[in-house]
Amino acid sequence: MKLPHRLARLLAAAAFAVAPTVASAASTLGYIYVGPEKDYGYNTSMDLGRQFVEKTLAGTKTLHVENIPETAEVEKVMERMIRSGANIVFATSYGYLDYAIALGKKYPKVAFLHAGGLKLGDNVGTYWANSDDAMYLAGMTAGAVSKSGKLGFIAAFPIPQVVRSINAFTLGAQATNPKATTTVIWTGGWLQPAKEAEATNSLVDAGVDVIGEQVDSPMTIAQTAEKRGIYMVGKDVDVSKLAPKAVLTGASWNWGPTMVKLVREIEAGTWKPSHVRGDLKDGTVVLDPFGAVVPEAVRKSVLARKGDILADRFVVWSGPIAGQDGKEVLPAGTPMPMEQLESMQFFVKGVIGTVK
Amino acid sequence: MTTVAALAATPLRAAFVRAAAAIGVFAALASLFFVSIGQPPATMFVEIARAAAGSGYAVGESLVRATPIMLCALATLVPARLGLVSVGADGQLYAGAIVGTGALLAWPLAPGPVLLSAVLVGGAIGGALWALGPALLRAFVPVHETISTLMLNWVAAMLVTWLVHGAWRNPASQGWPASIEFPDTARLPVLGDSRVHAGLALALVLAVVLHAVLTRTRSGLVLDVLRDNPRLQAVTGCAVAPRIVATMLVGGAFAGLAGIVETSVVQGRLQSDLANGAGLAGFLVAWLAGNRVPQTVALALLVGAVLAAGDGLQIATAVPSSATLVVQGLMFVALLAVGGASARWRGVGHGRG
Repeated sequence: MKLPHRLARLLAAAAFAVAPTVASAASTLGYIYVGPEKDYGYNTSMDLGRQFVEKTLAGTKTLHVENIPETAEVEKVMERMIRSGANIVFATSYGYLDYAIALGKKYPKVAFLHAGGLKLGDNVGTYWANSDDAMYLAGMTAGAVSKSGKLGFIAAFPIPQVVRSINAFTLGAQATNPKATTTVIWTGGWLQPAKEAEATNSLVDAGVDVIGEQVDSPMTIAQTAEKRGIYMVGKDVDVSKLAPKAVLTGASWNWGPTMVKLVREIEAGTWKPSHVRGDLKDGTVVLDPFGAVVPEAVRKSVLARKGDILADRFVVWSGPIAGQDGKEVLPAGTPMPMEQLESMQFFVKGVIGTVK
Repeated sequence: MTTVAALAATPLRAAFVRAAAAIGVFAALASLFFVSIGQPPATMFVEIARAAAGSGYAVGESLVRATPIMLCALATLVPARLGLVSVGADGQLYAGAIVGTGALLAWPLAPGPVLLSAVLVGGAIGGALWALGPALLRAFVPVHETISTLMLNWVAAMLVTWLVHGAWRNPASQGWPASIEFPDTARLPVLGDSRVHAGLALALVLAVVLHAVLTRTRSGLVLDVLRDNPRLQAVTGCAVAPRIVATMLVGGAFAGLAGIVETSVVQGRLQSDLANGAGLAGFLVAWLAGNRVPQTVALALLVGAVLAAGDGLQIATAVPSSATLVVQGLMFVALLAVGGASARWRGVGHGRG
């Protein structure tokens, strides 16, 4: 019976020891990654952003923690970072959103920046970039290089940003090969190397000869594709050096400048929580260099289309766009608004699979 | 010899000796590891201690992490009093989370106290139901409960994944695999603005009751008798089979409660991976604590603190997360080694001795 008494005292201590946080002039940034910071993919892209901020903004301190699951665990980690002095928190994974908003209410003086969400709080903003243009161009390359016209896509969760990538990839492929189809395999996790390798192999066995992906690290799929003698399109970080024969091109991130801009705004007191969005045009998204196998003619047509996108002569998300069942979801000449884009839960015609 | 005999004779002191030995072994192994990765061990231990208990906040987080471990340890302990080795706390935890969430989804608008009770009782029932199969198989077939409970862990975890990807996925979550959020009416209260919740108090009250039942009542003491000599059932007329089922169900209910408490008040929604290793940690805690309730509670708090300190260590020293996992793994190695060695030294095994 002694033990509960002692615990009660500990509990009381825990309740009264919550101190308010004070923002300082030189910021301390807390970065949280869902996977290893050296995953050569999504988390590496975020960490490269962190390093860029540290280099660009003298006096800025950064903290970072990797391999934090998208559960209440992240709430605890964010809070510990704040208590270790962080006044700006970069919650870099999709599943952190609700926890960031919940914690934002508890720490109104801390700024929370979430990657890719579509909800705001009084002190919670989001940052993301539209990689659909680059995925479309990569899809064009894939469609042109594919001999079978059967493309594959290995992806983690059917959330809007992933669904968009699959659709943009497919629309691009159909621009160079109207009969191209994309078979989708969900892995159910951001980093599932065994499942990713298995999915790559089963797609190859089914006659697929180019694979796109949106999991955290393109490494496993790139290297498996290299081994099986097929091609792939990367995402997040250029992995062509690790699979020189397989990688056709890819859509990479360049988060540094966006992060610097946001930190400066927060420090200047001009920041208002909003959905900050970059794209191919402003350089937050990069179309990776072409692999050796991509023919000159294909490169030319893809780069010509890239020029059209940069000059606003071509818009990927503009009708007519048909859904999986062939019915029109976007009438001709209509651009898709950002909110609709970022809540996308349908596949375009030619995608084989379900948004589930 | 007299000292040894005296130590072995008092379970509390024996447990203290074991705990001290485990901490010593852990410190030695972890020091070696820290030196090998070029970190000064003293600094690292100070940082672990600070992250685990260096502030009210740190203590709170340690308690939050310890709560499901404590309940899962008790879930292992109850059947172990009869000599059963159940490793099914993880699965029972998930099953409790499922049934408790089901109660919420069935009556989301029920008045607060009714809803909260339904959710909590649902959690306990879910855990008990998940233990029922292995209990019946052990009592009447007999299939070894260790294998069946272990296998069912995977089934329950997959069931959660299946539900949150499909039927129970929050339609407003845009494809993200998680249930709807638990409303405040379906959550246990939290302490101040910490994350410490009434689930801890519930676990402690249940632990006190359990301890009294196991050590002060006939039905509790019979378990000790039957564990030490199963053949006594013929002489005493105490049948083993119903007690197998009863202890497994009570154990399952404890783990199920861990699951629904974690789901409702900590995670706030049903989603995959919510066990976070609580079942395995709980099993090891019960093992090292010699399946005694007070020691189990104390050790669960210690283990919870070390596990909760992982992110703090990363923030303070910038070691990679793999290094903190190695340190936590070394803690479990130390617990297992000392637990196993002491069982051998006393000439009796834990569990089915």
